[in-house]
Amino acid sequence: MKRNNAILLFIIFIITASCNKNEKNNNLIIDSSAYSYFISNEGAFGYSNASVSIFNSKENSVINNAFEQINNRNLGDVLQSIYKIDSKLFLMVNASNKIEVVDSKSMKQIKTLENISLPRYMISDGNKNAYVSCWGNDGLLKVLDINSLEFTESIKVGKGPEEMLISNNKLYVCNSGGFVDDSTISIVNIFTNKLIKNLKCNFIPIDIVAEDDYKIWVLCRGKIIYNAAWQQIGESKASLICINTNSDSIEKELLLPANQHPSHLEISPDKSILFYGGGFSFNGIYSFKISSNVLSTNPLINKEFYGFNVHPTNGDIFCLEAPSFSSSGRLIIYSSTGVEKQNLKCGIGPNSIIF
Amino acid sequence: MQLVEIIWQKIYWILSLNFKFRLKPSAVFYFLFLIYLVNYNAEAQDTINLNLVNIVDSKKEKFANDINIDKLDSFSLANISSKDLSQILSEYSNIRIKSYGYSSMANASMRGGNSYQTAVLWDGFNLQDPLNGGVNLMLMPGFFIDKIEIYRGGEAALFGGGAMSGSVNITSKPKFNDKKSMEIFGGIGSFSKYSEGIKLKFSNSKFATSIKYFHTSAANDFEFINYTKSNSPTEVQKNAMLLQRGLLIQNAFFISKYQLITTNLWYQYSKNNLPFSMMQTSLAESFTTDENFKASINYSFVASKFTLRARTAAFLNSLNYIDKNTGFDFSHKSISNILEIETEFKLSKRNIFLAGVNSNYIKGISENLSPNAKAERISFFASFLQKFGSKLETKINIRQEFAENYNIPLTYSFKGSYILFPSLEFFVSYAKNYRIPTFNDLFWKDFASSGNLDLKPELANTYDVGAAYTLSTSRTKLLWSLNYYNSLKNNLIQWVPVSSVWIPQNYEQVHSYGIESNLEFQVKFKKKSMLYINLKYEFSESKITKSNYIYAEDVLGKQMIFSPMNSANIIGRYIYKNSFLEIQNEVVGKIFTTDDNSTFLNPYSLTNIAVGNTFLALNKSLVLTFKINNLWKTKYFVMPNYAMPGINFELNLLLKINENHEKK
Repeated sequence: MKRNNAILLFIIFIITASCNKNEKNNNLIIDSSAYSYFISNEGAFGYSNASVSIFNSKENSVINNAFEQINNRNLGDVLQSIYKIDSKLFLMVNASNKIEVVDSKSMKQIKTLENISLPRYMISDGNKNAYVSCWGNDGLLKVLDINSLEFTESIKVGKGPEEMLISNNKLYVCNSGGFVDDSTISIVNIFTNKLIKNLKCNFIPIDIVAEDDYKIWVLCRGKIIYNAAWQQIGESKASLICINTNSDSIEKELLLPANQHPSHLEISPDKSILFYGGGFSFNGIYSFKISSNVLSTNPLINKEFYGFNVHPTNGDIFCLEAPSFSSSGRLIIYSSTGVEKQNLKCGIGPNSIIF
Repeated sequence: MQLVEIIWQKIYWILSLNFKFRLKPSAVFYFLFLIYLVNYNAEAQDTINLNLVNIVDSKKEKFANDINIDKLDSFSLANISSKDLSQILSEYSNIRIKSYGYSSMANASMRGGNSYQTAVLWDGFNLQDPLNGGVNLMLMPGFFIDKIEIYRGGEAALFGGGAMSGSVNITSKPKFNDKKSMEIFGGIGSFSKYSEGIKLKFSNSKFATSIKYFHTSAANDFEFINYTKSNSPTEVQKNAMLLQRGLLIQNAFFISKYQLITTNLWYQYSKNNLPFSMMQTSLAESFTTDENFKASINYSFVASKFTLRARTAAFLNSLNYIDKNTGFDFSHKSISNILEIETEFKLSKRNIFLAGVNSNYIKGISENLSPNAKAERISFFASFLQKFGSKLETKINIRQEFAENYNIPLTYSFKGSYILFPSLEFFVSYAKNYRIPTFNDLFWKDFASSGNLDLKPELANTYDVGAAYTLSTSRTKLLWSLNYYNSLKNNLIQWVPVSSVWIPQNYEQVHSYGIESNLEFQVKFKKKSMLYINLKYEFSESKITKSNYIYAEDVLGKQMIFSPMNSANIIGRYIYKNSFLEIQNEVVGKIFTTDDNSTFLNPYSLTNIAVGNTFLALNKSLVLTFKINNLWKTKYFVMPNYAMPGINFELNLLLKINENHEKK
């Protein structure tokens, strides 16, 4: 009898040891005013720890893991970018092959758009459609009906479509190559959703901004050429190219110095200064006064950033630092003249902020 | 004797011609002196009959710290045929298994260290891949394993660099005087898992051979609740198919009554799809194909006062990864050639001296590695065991490794044990350990990352203090061991972004300390019944104490990632005649997944229950076991957001036919 009791106690111990609780809270309150900016934290690839941080510019504070706190689930693997249309946020969760649609005021989930092969960026036509650039399927744009949140069609573009811009009723798509190389900008008619042409340019067009209604700037990252032993044997220099959207031709190209291959391009609120920098293999953020036609050799901010964005009204430079993909990143805010104003913790691997 | 001379001549030739190291004159002198000693002793001493003496891997057990060796008991070993080594270690030890999903690549780590700081040895040969320092435990079928020993704590002086946190040694060898025997294994399990295996053995007093073949396949299409999606739908795991087959051929010959040669040949093939994380919604396939080829030859010569062991091994690992979503298709290969010679001198009844040399040629082949990814390394090692009376025993191990471009410090360990009472023994040990950077650390190159030739070896200083209490009666047996360890690891290598390119650096210092407790209790009842209980518990704090990280304050004092502070394993077994009931319970504490400890995996507890019966008939026995895994349907993760199965079942049959048994 004693033996049976011992066995019974042993089994009870195992049962009680098996209890496993998983509690989360959803007490997050988001300031729905215009002071909330959303940071896209990629997280570490494969670890599914992407997140959204919300920066309150009025209180200079950051709320991390906003999506997780509100929706009681993780966001996914590699949040590449966030795009806002009206009161909806579209979260491009790249390695999870999905887009999470949430309410921008409450962060509550609205819909998950699944089976999208490596979504990168989104842009709205200002009407009923939005375009999503996808690296999968050898490079595609997927057209999303903003109201129904259903994809209506796909447009074949170059490889690795990245950032996009709509200008002069045309959609300009930077074909970065993705996992290979490309050197074209796809131009799409937004009324017919048909490809007009692929404009040849420098290697790896990656980011794009508008100077005015008929003039856009594209940052081409260029590329480093390796031999079979991965030793650098040459390079194609990075460049800034100016495209006339009436003629869809390259009007101007400014080559960056050797061994400089930035990944991000922004423009000042008054559209007179370009800022480029950030990303892999690049230290610093440089400013370029468009009217000068001369690139600066000294960085405006001498620090490595994974990404940065320029505030559309006050011109502050919001820099995202990802010194490790295994701990928190930083949001560091500089004035338009490069003076540091704020340094705040955010999620893992922050790459961009939207205002 | 001629054979001995030929072997030594061969070694001398290899050392003098193949190695380009600047050996110190004293090392060369020492080596020549060894040759002389072996020849002298072989002629001077009477020889003994080896007869089943375990001569191949006795070094490890003899000179390691006894309290830090965990061995799987024979009953457990008899029931591992359907599992791979990662599942076995997970169920029966406190070793931490890091796996990218169910039936996916799995590595072992212990004492708060990384997986590449735990060596996995096959009959004493280190299997760590030169490219990444890892060993995929999923590729090691339990059907091929006869013995598993876990050495907790670094022991680089015995096993060489790489074993900074500990090592796992698996052994398989044919038995003599076993006549003809055959084992046929068949298993069926949940998620379309099918396993089959056959062992054929033949032996007499001079020759033994063993052929083992094992095949397993599984769809692994289990259901799970995807809590990462809204409304937490129930989904079916996809892209987790597994296919494995392996062949192990082993031979052993007594070429005289005191000379033994063994040969081992192991081929393992595996193709497994890589399961998606719960976050992924696309179904594009990605998979890896592994091919491993291992071969070894061991020669042993045993005299009454000295033993000579000479052995060589060649390992070829090939990994091909294909991702249809991204178009990635790459292959990595590695080659290892090991040659080791050691001599053991029994100087008196109280002391044993061992000395030897180990040479290792390794090469990595990958489009991401430079052609320079090859190395020739040589180590000289010695061990000395001294007993003082019947109570005090000391062991000293020393190793000096020479490697091109590295100044590897002299590595050593010391162990002492004292029997205070017949039932109570105390232990103390100190060990200095190191790990040379892997080829990936040194030579990797792609557009976003680059190896670093300036890396220094990782170094660790570890000491242990422990006690073991044993109590035996005619019907009961109690063993309780308690051990405290403290380890300071320097120059730990970590890949970090530097100028926006990922580069490995000697980045951190980590302080690890903890307590390991092992309690075993066994009681025999009347009517051929027995109760066995084993409780293993480990508390392990492993914290970053120095870091070159720009925001070091974020990580200092934080627990190392994927290293739970608390873990425990409980095994309860009741045997009645030929039947048994076994309950296993694995408890794993909170696991942090980021350096700043901002994200973590929840603690979990898993329970398995197994029943079995052995049916005996003349020279045959049939072992039937039925097992329920994850009895309580625990939801748990070993990697963030990679689904693990709920309750699942296994039914295994093992038929043994033994000619020797029939004659009895």
